[in-house]
This record gives sequence, structure tokens and C-alpha cells, in this order.
Amino acid sequence: MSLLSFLERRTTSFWRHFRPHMIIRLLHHRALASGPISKKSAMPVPLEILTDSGWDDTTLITFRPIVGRRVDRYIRNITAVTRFLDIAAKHVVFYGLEGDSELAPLIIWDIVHSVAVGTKITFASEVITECLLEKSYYHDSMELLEKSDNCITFEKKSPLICESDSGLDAWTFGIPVGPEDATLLNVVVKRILELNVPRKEILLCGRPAENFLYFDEVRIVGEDITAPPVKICAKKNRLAVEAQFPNLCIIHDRIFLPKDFMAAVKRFGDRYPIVTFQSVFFDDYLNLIPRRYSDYGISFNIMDTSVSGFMRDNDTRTSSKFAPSVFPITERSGFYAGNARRYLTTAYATGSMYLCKRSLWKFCPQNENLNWIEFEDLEHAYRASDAGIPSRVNPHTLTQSLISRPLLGRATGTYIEPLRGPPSRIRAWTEWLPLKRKPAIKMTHADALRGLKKFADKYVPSDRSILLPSSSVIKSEQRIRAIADILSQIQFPLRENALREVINDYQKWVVADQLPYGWIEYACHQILIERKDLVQLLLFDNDIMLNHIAARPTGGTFAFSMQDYLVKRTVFLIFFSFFTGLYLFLARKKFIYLAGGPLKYIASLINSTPYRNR
Amino acid sequence: MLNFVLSSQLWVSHQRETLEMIDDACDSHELDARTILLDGINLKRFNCKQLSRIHQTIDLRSWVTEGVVEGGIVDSKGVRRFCSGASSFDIVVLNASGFPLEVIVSALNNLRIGLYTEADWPLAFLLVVDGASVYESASILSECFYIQPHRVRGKALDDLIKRMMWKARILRFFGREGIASRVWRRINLV
Repeated sequence: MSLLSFLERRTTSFWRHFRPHMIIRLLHHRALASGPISKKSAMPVPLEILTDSGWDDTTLITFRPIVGRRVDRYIRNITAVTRFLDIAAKHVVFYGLEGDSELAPLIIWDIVHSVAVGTKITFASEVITECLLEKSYYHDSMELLEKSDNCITFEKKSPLICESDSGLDAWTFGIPVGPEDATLLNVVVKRILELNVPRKEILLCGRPAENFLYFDEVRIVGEDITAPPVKICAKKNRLAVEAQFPNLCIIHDRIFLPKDFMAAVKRFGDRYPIVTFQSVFFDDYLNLIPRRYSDYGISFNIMDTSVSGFMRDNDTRTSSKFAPSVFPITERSGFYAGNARRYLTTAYATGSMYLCKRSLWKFCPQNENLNWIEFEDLEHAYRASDAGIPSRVNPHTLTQSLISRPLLGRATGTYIEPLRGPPSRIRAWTEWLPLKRKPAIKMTHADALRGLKKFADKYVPSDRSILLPSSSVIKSEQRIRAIADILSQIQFPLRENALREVINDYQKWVVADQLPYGWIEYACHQILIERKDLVQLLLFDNDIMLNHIAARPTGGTFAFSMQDYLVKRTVFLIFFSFFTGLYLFLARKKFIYLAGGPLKYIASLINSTPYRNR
Repeated sequence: MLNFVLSSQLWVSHQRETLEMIDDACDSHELDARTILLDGINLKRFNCKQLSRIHQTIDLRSWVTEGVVEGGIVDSKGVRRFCSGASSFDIVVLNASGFPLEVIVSALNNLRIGLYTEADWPLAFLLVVDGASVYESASILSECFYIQPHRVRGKALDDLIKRMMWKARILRFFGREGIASRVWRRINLV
């Protein structure tokens, strides 16, 4: 707490004995696009509303200028990571908050959760439109007392859903797992066991492979959930149902939690909505090439999409922008890595990590109509946002991703929303350094070769022969040559289901990466109508393949073993972590934001680096 | 779906043998993507049996509307209507004799698009064309309903790979944006 705000609070509590009303003025961080709200740009608060309405012991919270009275407390530099957990009053009045700030859902969430039952909450403005407290999350706890054209008052009748799970000492860590190699899962679980969480349990949804080392330390649930397709939503929902503790940390088996996890969640505070940590992936073994990787995202145009479809449950009463039939259209909306200090209702925590209350997840579970990589995380976040539950970032630490999918971690940079917005492609200057890199795709050479062979066996006529030397998955140029050879010799009917099967098998066995939905539709059209050459289309005009080669021009696309993703603890690594920490601190407005100085960045990097066992 | 091509002269003289030979081929061949050019010697030597499969013969004239374009314009609606019920026939014969190659190609393209969404196809498709265009029609038909193997090798493939590798290296070193990347892309026309 700065000296200024300390003095302000002391003065405020002193004056409170003499004044019936308290005024708190909020001021945005200067760099936020919403900019300062001043006497020149906004109407001041008409203070008559406090005197004429007969309210007493009121706390007025506003971004508007105050004319004719002293402001009791200023809260400056407000961003999406600022929390408001210390507001206590019998009657809170928000004046013009929802119109003045995009951060309003976050501010209101914090304040409504921190005030006591019986508190009145009033939203006043020149014009009142839809009020956040009318949304379904608040519905059972907030009673509407009064509504007029410019004022709406609620009373908090009972604790909110998240308040029923108060406290930060007990955590359930849930990981959806599959039967594949458990090397990385061992690393993730080992780190959770090392965390100094007072009470914790680890749940795995699904049975891990035999090389999993911690069967005695975990509880396995959801073995009845079948795959493929990977029913990730059903798995996450099951984890929430089976959780014993009130705080949920649902992570994918590639998220390496930081050592200071407990300190970070305590610093962020209780009664949080859907929260995530920021995440980086280091492409090299010296922590020198950081990439922001799948943590907190934002879409600006998703709400503009006018086409929707029915979900798999055929519920014709509602349609969704995330129905399987409209994926190629939804995908066109554009998704960016969001800035931790900015917020829009279209911000979302990507599905790889959720911190939230068990009761909150049960209130708003994921949609089991969707499977993995079907925008299930966006659908969940937007549905939650529609219910009044925001998604935000805990800025007190970061996680590292053990692996990276080339589709999301591009060598050419990532679209990130800087503090001032709008998103731009951001790339660490160290990207070009000729350093040894981690494998680009989480697949061993043997599996990659098996995939090529499987594809060739399925689609190349038996009277033709394909030569697949092991170099065709080790060297990038040889890989291209082998794929071109296979693609040029395949044979299949131009029938919709056959063509889609070929493309699905191609992405699964040959590319070993996800092809965008829109691109698949484009490819089908080009093959059927334009009769475009298959090799040219699927290989040389394929941006995903180009990205693979750009990421690993000579080789190293696949792994020899999953241990290749772990780094050795060396003096160089520590030294370069200092260097990168400093770089990330200097680039904090556009790359990653942590609440603290350069040492915070350095400590967070070192705390979250996945070391190889000696 | 097995594809067959036959000249119109042979179709007129050996219609029954042709259908029975195709019927027989559907039994003995795997249902693959082959296109078979039938000739008179084969047909003359073939011992006729009882035709066991349902066949449908379509005269291309029924799909072509007269217009200002030479040879007429293929009626897409008619072709699609046929495609939606095509799977109820085992053998489909398209008699395109007397039509220029452009009209035949257009009809085949319409058939391809019409059959694209159909889950089941007929077992065999026979295209009857004028004797002079049998060979050209056969190679067009072989690639109409199937993607066929065409091995790419030699210098053409080397050039494509070299170009891709070069483009990838530029992206890796200079990123997708920025002056250096743009200059490199201009110089190398990638």
C-alpha cells in the first residue's frame, strides 16, 4: 500500500464519523483506452441524489468528477487486476459506473461479494439500461427494491454463490488426462505435491498411462468418460462434482504451476470469479525465447457474428454461435491473447487453466455438447459472462507451459492486446537466435513415423510403394519431401465424408497439428470445385505446414522422448532467466503483466521453470 | 465406383454385352477408383449371362438445354435431381454421343458436385462418347470422381520445396511483419 493511499484511508475513516455519506472516486490507469474521466469529458455527479433521496450512511462510488464536495477517497490507476475487497457500507451507490468503464463488471463483482447481507446497492445514472445485478448469477441473492428511469436499487438478501465457498486454504487440483505417455503429467503432479497448500487433493479425470508415478497421491475419477472425441467438458465438470475442497484449480497436463502459487492466490484475494494465470512457453532450453501461450484471450467481433446453429443436443429453443455447424464462421471472428489489465465481456480464460470456486463451476459448468478444441472454453466464458460472471487474470505469478502446439505458438509472433490496445503481432527479438529448441510438436519421432505410415497405408493404392526413411520425421526438408510423395500418390473418392476423413486423417497423422476449421472448408471447396492440386493445396499452400518449417527449418519438429521438454538447471539458465525477466518487465505493457518490479518477473520465471530431474 | 468409357458405335451394337460385362466387373473387381476403357474385342469375346443389377441409361440430351452456346448448356438442376436418387441404381449409363467435349466435361462436373454429398454411389458409371473422343474422355472421367495418384518428383518438387524452405527461413528470422521481412519477401517474390 502506498503512503498516499494509507493516509487517504486514515483520513477517510476519521471523516466518516462526521459525514453521513462517503464518496469514493475511481480513476482509470492512464494507459487504458477509456482514458481519464474529467470535468471536461463527463457530467459531474449530481450530489442532490445523496441528500434528496433520504439515504443515509451511503458510499458513493463513481468515475465521475465531484463538484461542490470533497472526495473522501481516491482509488487511482484502476485496471482489470485491481480488486475492491475492502469496501464496507450499509448502502453502496454506483453512479454511472457501467457506462463509464469497461471494468464495471469486475468492480461490481468484488464490491457486491465483499459487502454484508442486508446491504443496499443502488445503480444511478442519467440513463439506466440493463443492470448487472439482474443477471442470473445474482438473481437468488439480490432483491430488487426500486426501479426508475435513472436509479435501480437492490438489497443483498443472502450470500452469493461464491461466498458459500469462502477461504483459500483448501484446494482441489483437477487434471483431465488421457492414456498417453505420463512423463509430463508426472512433472505437473510432482509440482502440485510440492506446493505449500494447507489442504489439497489431486483429482485425475481418466486413467493415466502405466508410467505415471503418483497413483497413491491422486484420486482417479471419470474413467467411464470415453474418448475419442475427447470430452474435455464432461471431464472438467466431473472434476468439479468430485472435488472435496471449495477452491478448484483445473489445469491441463501441460501447465506447470509456480512454486509461489499459494502466495499469489492469497495476494489476489478470495471470492474471485473465473481466474487464470498468464502463461509463457520457452521455445529454447535457456529461458531466452519467451512466447505468450494460451492463457487469457479476447475476441472483439464474436458478438457481431449473426450466424448461429443448434447444439448437438438438438435443443431448438436456443441457438449458439459455438454450435459445431458454425465453427468455420465463429473462427473468423479472430481471437487474440488478452491483456491482463484490460477487460471486456468477451474476454475469456482459455481452457488450459481455471481457478474458480467449486460452487461457481457447478452453477455454470462447461457445455458437454462440445469436445476438445471446439471453442468450449469460449462458449463457457461467454455464457458465464452473460450470467454475470467475469473472467480475469491473477497478476501475482505466471505458469509455464511444458509444451506448445505450433498452431498457437507461432515463430512469427503472437497477436497480443497491449495495454493501450488494439492487438498487434508481438515477437520476442530473441526468436532468431540460433539456439537449440524444444520439440515443436508433442509427439515422438516413432509416433510421427507411424502416423505417416498409417496415412500412406490407408490412402495410397496397394500397387504403389512409399519409402519412409526415419529422416522423414527428423529433418524438416525430408519431412516435406515424404509428405509430398505420399500426397501425390493417394487415391480417394470425391465424396464429402471421404474427403473430410482424408483431411482429418491428414491433420492427425501427417501434420500432427490442428488445421483451422475455416481452412478445412476452403480446402474442400478448392478440391471439389476448383480441382486444385492436392500436394500444392495441403502442403505448399498450407500455412500450418509453413509455420512448422519456420519453427524448425532444419529439424527437431518431433521429440525423441518427452524428457526433451524439460530443461537442465544450469548457471546459464539462471543467468538468462534474469535477462528475460528484465526484458519482460520492460515489455510489461504489451507482453505480460505481473504486479511487481523486475525481481517479481525474474522470480516468477525461475519459480515456474520445469527442470529435468538430475 | 467403377468407371467405364465406351464408344457410341460399340454401345449401339453391343449394349447387352456391355451391361453384362460391367455387371460382371462389379462382382469380380474391388469397388475401387479404376476407369476402364472397353473395346470391341473384349465385348465380342464376352459370354453373356443374366443381368443381375439395376441400370439406368440417361441421354445427355435430357440434361442439355438449347441455347446460344454451341452444343447447349447443361441443366444443373436436372443433374442434381438425378444425383439425389442415383444410389438406387447399380449401373448408370450416360450416353453423351454427339456432344462436344466441353458439354461432356460440364455434365461430369455437375455430376461430381451433385454426387459429392451423397453417402452412396452407384457401383458403376459408364460414359458413352463418340469414338473420336474416347481417349480424352477416359482421362477426364478417371479424375472426375476420384483424386488419383500423380507422383510429383524431380525438379518441379525440388523447386517447390526450396521455395517453401526459403519462405520459412525468412519468416523465422524476420517475422511476418517489419521492414526487413517485407524487403526480403519483395526481393525473393515470396
